[in-house]
Amino acid sequence: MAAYAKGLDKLIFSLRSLRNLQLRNERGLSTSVCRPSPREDNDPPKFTPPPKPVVIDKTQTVASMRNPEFIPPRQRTDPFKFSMERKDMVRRRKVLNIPEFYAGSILAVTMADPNASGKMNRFVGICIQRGGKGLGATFVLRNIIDNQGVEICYEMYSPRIQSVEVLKLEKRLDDNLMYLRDALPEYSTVDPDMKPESCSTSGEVPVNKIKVRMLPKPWSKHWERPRFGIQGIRFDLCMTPRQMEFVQKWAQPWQEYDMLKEYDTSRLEEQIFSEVQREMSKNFLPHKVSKLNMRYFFAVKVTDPNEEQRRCCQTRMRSVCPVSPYRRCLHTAAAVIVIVSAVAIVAAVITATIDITSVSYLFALSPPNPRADKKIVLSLSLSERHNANNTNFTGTEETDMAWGGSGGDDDDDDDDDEYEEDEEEEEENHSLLEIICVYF
Amino acid sequence: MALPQLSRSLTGLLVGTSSIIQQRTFGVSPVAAAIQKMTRVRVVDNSSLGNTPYHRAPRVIHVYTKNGVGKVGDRVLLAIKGQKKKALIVGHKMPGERMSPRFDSNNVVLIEENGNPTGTRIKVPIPTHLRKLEGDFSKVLAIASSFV
Repeated sequence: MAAYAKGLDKLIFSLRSLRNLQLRNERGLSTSVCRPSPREDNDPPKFTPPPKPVVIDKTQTVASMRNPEFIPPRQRTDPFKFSMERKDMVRRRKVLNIPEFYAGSILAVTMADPNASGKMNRFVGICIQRGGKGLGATFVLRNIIDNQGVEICYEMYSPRIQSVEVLKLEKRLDDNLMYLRDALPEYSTVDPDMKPESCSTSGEVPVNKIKVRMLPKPWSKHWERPRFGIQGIRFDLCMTPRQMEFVQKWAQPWQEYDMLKEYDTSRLEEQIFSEVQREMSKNFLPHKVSKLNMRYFFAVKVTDPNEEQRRCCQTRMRSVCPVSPYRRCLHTAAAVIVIVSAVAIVAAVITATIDITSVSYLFALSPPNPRADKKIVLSLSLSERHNANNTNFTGTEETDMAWGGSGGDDDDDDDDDEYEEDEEEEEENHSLLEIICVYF
Repeated sequence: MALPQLSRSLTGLLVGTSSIIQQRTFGVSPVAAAIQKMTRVRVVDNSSLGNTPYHRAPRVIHVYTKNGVGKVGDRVLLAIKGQKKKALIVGHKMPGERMSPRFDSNNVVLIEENGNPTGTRIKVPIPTHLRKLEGDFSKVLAIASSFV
């Protein structure tokens, strides 16, 4: 049965270039010609299956294989949404170089992480899956660190990603290497200090035909089942031929011939990739993008795209996302108000206590720590110590209150001195002489 | 081919031997909700309670969250070696946020009532977003050797 399937596959591959009409004619011929024909041994069997939808998939263009996230899925959404997403993807790609890679390539990704030391987080791993379409395209990197398997799913167009480096570019026999979770750990281990390997001289990407040894069953998924179509596992080591046959029970061979599941992306691909190439080749002219847009695409630079990428995410964001004029006005207004209020308070205090010595110790009180200030005050003031202590305490309280009540640890003192302060204030409102008497 | 199956069932009895066998003894059913009651966990610090072998794997008996589901940074109550012990989740098999790591085992660090870790070192990498909960688990982060 497996042999028959293989034969069928070979036949289908050989018929890849034929048109529908030709195939139909051949089928007509086959039915008219009697079955027990001696010519069957020389010619291919006359019964030809209908054209496989997989044929169309096999003619995937190189560009689509390289960047599968540009091709939109077959949905009822407006293509305008996809074209908008593509614009954003192109803009991001102009800033960050996302190289070509496939499932099975080894990548090193540096990500901006506010919680990590040095703000950057570098992870090296083998790419096991590329999923998602449009801006939400993701790829999963897997590595084994300190005998612990770790996988991180990175969003390709996330502004947190600072660099994507391909250390080893290669393909595997499958698109999805999730079975590495159940394979021996040696197949998922990647040296974090690996140096980038030089790519092959020819344009083709090397295919690593490695067949992986698995851990004993049970696995997280039934990888042996035909629905996954995995070529890269050594089933001969982990399963008996009888088990392999039993597994074919779940085979759905009719799905290959299901024409409703066909999705011909050839024309769409041509359109999309020509558009993308045009956009990428255009020089990114610095123009005055509206500040709102800037904030939304905050990873996009308005300046020369050849500028070096900065290290710190914060500085990058600050440089790239300038403050909007509205916010700037607010900042300046706030600053002005603070300054004006401070000046007003100082003026009020000065008018209240015109005494030179008091002014001097008021200025000495600018640091926020009231206890230290009290010590300074004690040393600076010329009056008697006993009176000076009392008055200085009240004076410091007043000034602290004026400067915004920064003396947080003086709550007890505040409560005690409240009445004293009121009395002092009332007295101060009188003439200068009385004020001098109060303080001396 | 029956031999690997036999060995698999035998290793199911032994706990805390080599790391490869330890990987295979824990649950392989698809992950539904990260860590809840009765999940078997792997203690990753070097405390004696977590590393001495016992015929039963450490299990979660209570999760200190509003729902019964524990994610990274949540406290749980474990039953280890016939005694109850609090622990902190430092990694689970369930895929979480994008850009955050997903581990191949449910990792847990033993903790006292006041939040101090029982062990003195954590060899396994810890997710960096635990640093946000700086105040409670600063001592746990201090004994961690590597971050992912």
